Amino acid sequence: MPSGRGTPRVLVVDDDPMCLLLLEILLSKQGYQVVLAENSDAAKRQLTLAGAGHFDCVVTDYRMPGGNGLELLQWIRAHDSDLATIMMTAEGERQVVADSLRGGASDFLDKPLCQETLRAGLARAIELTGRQRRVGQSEAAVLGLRQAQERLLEEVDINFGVRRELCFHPKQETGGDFFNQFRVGPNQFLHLLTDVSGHDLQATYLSAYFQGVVRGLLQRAVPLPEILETFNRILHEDLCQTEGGAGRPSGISASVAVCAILVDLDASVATVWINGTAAPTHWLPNGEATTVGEAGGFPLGWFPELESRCAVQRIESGSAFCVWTDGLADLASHLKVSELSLAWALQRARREGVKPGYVSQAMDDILVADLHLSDASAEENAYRPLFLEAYAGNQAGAVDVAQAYWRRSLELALPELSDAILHDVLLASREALLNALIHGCRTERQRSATFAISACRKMRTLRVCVSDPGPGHSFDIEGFKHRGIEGLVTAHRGLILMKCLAGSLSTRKNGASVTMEFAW
Amino acid sequence: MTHFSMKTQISQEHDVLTLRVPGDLISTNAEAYRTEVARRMEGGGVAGQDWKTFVVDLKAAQMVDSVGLNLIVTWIKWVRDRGGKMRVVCSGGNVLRTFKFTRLDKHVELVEG
Repeated sequence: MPSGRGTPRVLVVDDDPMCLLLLEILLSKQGYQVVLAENSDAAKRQLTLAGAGHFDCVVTDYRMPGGNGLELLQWIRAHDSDLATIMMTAEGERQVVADSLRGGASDFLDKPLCQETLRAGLARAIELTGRQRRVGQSEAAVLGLRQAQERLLEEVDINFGVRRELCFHPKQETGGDFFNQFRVGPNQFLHLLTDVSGHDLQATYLSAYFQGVVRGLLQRAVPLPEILETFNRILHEDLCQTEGGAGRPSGISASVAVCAILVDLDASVATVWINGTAAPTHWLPNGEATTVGEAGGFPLGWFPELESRCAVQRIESGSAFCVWTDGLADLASHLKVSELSLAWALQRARREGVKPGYVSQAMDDILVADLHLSDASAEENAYRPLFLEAYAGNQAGAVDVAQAYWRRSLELALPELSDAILHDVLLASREALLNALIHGCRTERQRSATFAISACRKMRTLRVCVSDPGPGHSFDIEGFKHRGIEGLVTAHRGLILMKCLAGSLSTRKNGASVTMEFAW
Repeated sequence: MTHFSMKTQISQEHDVLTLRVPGDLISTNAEAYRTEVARRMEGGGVAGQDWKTFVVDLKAAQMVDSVGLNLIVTWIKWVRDRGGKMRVVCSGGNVLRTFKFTRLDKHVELVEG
């Protein structure tokens, strides 16, 4: 007899009193708790009274006055879908057997009943009920975990003076990506983005465990680098044991990518540690953006010695950061768009309560975290970066590829841009980049031009900034703007075109740095 | 985006010589167009035949950049030197605006086709 929560309960349904009596005797002898019902309606009353989850198996006759066994089976499927049901049929009722199995019966028994067949069939059915209920409980637990994870990530916003906005798309029901904030001083806040390898419950648990370890050690004033070292050692030792086969049969064998941003409002600096994640992007309200530190390094757990990539960024009121897990980088690469424009699009969709269809193409969990050192109203007037690229001087021949990339990214992030505005932005950007690569970088591979686009939705304005290391130029754009371009050299035609296409154009560094704005 | 892998077509009907550009006229293909047109028009081909109007058909173009405009200016001068007229046909929209922005519409007959 299968063991479980106690004596298994079996409901036997048959309009034949002799058959009921026989089954009661047989099953009681086998150790089951037996409840009898003389027809389908009586069975439904018993099941309703006892509630879903009470019985472990139903054995029902097919041919009964009132409602037949198949009708009862359908009712059970609707009211207690995990409860296994065995159908008793007269010998040779092949169609009934087929219909019963199709309807969800776990088994069928031919009458007259064979005692051994009944014993085996009942054991299987009760085991099936137990298994299905365990699966159901696990699914409910996973769903609960996901809801808790989403609530923690997206709804619980502890205002530490650094406002956060999180966008989370797990690949499965739960994932190992997580974000947390810790106060480590009166005006010092640590922000931790973690990405545990895997997309399952273990990853979720490990992520939560890591967050807890960090919180505990921070409360004991342990410096973050030391915490990272400790966790790296724990994971690495476990990984070695698992790989070597000499240790526990099932180790953690997981790694944790971490990006930590310590914001010190008093010192106006942010310190960034990167272990196997993207480098965060920092920007100012005017859209001027920088990548802080260097992406990559190794996640915790890979090697015995931890090499965090550390960088320091000056911050000011209105500063903002965006950082993401590698699921975003993978999806951006798949969609052939910039990571910043995808981060923008996902945050925008989250605010609008929409899950974009392209998220289903993601191969990994995606977590995007924005940190704002300004209130929401100030942020509305700020520019947010969509591109922050560097192009080598010898890449002028690849400008078509770059332009297609800009187009896809802009269409994703700002679908409201008209065809005319998109054309003007792309053409002016193309001209600016070509000028920068050909004249500023002299087409040399060692030199590079920076290319950045930012946008402010509230002001409906897009800003393109292109800078090169060259000496600039002495061409007077304003003076030639209205004279036409037929007498000019190509480079100057490009400048005139930029001036004509953009709503405004300003230069710095003698023209080596140009900023264009486009209203939409 | 169109590259020069799509061949230009040059045809003559009466005294009108037409060059059909199969896509954008931009930095990455303008030089190839320049060479191709020069080869076909000056190296024998149709160059010796009588024509008075040179038509550049840009209906398939979505974008003409400064290098493309440079080529247009070259062709304007080339046509002027031969005492001919030049007409540019575009599908309107962005290419038309580019010609107007840069005032090249003052030097060629610009037609929406």
